[in-house]
Amino acid sequence: MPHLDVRALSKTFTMHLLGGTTLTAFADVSFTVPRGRFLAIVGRSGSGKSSLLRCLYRRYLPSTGAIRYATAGGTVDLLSAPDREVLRLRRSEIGYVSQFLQAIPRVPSRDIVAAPLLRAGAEPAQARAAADEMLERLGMSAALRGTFPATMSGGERQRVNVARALCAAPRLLLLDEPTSALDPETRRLALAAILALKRDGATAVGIFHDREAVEALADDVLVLEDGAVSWHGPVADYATTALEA
Amino acid sequence: MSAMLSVERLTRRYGPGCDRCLASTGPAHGTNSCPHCGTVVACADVSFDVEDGEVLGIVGESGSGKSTVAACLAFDQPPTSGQAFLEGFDGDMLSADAAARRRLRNTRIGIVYQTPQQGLALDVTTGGNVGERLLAADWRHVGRIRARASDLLERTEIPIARIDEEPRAFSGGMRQRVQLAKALASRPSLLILDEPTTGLDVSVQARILDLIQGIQREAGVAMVVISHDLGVIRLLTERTLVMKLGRVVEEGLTDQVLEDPQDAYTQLLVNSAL
Amino acid sequence: MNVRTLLDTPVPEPGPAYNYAFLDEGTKREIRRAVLKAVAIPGHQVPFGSREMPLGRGWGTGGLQLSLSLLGEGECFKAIDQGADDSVNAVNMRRLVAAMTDAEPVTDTRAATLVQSRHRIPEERLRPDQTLVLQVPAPEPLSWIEPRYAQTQRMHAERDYSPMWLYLYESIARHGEIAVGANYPVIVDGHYLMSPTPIPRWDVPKLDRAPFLTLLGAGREKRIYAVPPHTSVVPLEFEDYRFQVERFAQPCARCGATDAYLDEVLDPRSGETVCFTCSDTAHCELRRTEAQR
Repeated sequence: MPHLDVRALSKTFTMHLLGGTTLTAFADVSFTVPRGRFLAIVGRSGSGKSSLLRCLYRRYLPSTGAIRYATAGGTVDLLSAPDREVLRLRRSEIGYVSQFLQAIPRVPSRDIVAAPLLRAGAEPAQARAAADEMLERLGMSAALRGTFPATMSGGERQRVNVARALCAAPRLLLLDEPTSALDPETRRLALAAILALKRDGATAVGIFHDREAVEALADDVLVLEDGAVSWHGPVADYATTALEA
Repeated sequence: MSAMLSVERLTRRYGPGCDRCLASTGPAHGTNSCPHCGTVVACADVSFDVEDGEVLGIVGESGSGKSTVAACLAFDQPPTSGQAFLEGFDGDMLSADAAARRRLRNTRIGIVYQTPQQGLALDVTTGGNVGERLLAADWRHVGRIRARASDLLERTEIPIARIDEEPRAFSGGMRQRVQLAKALASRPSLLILDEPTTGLDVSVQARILDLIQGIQREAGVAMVVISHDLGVIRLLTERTLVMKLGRVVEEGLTDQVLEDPQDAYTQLLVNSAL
Repeated sequence: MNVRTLLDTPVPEPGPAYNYAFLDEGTKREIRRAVLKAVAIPGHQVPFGSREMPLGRGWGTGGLQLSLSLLGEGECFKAIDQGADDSVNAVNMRRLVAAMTDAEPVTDTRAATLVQSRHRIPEERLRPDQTLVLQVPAPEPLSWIEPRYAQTQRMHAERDYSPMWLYLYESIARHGEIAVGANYPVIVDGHYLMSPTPIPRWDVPKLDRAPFLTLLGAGREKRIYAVPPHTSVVPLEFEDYRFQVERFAQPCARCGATDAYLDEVLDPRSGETVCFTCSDTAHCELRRTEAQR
């Protein structure tokens, strides 16, 4: 059974402020991701890949289709699951890394990273230690770990963002260009941390700007073009295609 | 986990009321005032539940009925119909007798109002304001009452040296923090925050929001946050109801409601804020 | 004419213009019914239609109406004002009662069957066959904190006395102690908050589980309430700020009592304390007489 089974998923926005104009982000997207595999979604901007990822996290409400997600307790359709069920899954096993950090202001980085662990019921001291370790793996100095992200550079902030998602060791990781704001050295550290999670059996769906990241992380690639799947296959085949123009 | 608070079809009308009130008001009719009898339907058929440790947001413009929901849950207003169940309390708390309601209000439910005058007696000392709920819960040891009040004042960043001063002498932000300390005094199961930061300077707002977040992390109460400020809702809540003209027009995960609003009114609200 | 000669003046016979005990029978019946209700609900204020009396409202008309409704043949009536039998008000009460009823006016507490008092309870321990009537200036203890009648009614009904507790807390926070001298609020029979009238704190414990009946009458405010015999009367107190009776540094300068409530006697010119003397003049007198013997 695949870890994630997306069936005929579509997302259409109805813009009531523009007289009910509709805008289809993507339509009829189907794919499966086996447990422990990484799927990279590639495509030009506006192709619908970010919307797709957000639908998988239920940050956007998909219009039709199904997102079957296998948990220990059975399969859940993330499209129709009650809000609380989605929140529980977000807390316990689905991690999301956005392009930019969205965090509570005036909370020290270490505490931002530790928060998901605390919500999952970890001891405060253990959670902070785990947060420290993850931030260290991403190359953040001990001094910075106690400061607010608002005072940091974009790259430093993004490390907090990545660390927060990885620290909770999610079973499904949704990555929306997590490394685009990072300098090459930090990008390398972040990719290593994501790979470590993969070795532990995590599944991931990610959008990556750079081909290096795709090749380093992905097992499979799905190409979106104008909201439709134009290609889907193993990363080795993708590398040999001429799709990347 | 069962719900700490469960609200079922809460309705509050002001006026004589008629059979057609509910069918003639709401977003579809563009009014909350019944064209047949003039009754104002402040809120109608509002249902939701909140679990222990959960924060629910209710967002909407003034006149949307969100504060009426808060007022009914804090027993400041009797509902016209509808029920509310609080974990550990037998039956509908809204129709409980006056003494039982008062006991719930003093021991299980804390509320922070937009205006401190509503929640505080400005001519009673700060310690007395915080201690009032403890006195109502039959605390009869001044030393212990003051110790608990001091803890709460420390938690809400009020200098303990000011425990015997009247909040009348305090700034708006400090008064809100005293309200919070008071609301928390009896370790409530349900904390209602009705526009807790509206009207405060941005920097003062930030401190209050920090404080509320800390309380939520530590105390694990069920919270209902009522605000017209989407920033406050985004920061504090995980699930949100959107109200307009007395009705719930949309509900969902807070990030989903704010980033992918479905209802026309929510879209307007979100777009107006950005 | 001094007090003594006033007291010795023969009491005139009641003329035919007056009913027995001044009040008409209907009024006396109404008051007795109010008394029965008040006894049945200890500490609860029962309204009654207070009548015009031949003394100003606020001068003891509530207590007087109670006394007149209850006094019959064979009764002995004692009236005291702040502990004294010979103050003008007490003397006039006694004269009026003597003129209008068959009751015998007395000053010896032990001889009295009914003691009407303003702001004191006699030092002499009252017996089950004696009744204490207290004059009440302001029957509502919650009026300190809540002026609205409907609210005080609700608070009594729900036993919502936390605002009163807050009042006491505030007193401690601001003054370091419960700054209530007389009229100390008490809970009667575990339910109603009651004003014991402006008796000193010294007298409050005398009401707790007392063997005698206490009736309280507020003429101006038109309320009657009661503490039946053997009923608990508990002052509001905190575990760490206990209710305390007054203490006196010296014994009574007249009788030497150390176990009585004393009045401070001041030098009118210097304002300095000259001495302390018993507030209960009859009791003081009795002790001195006994000492002489």
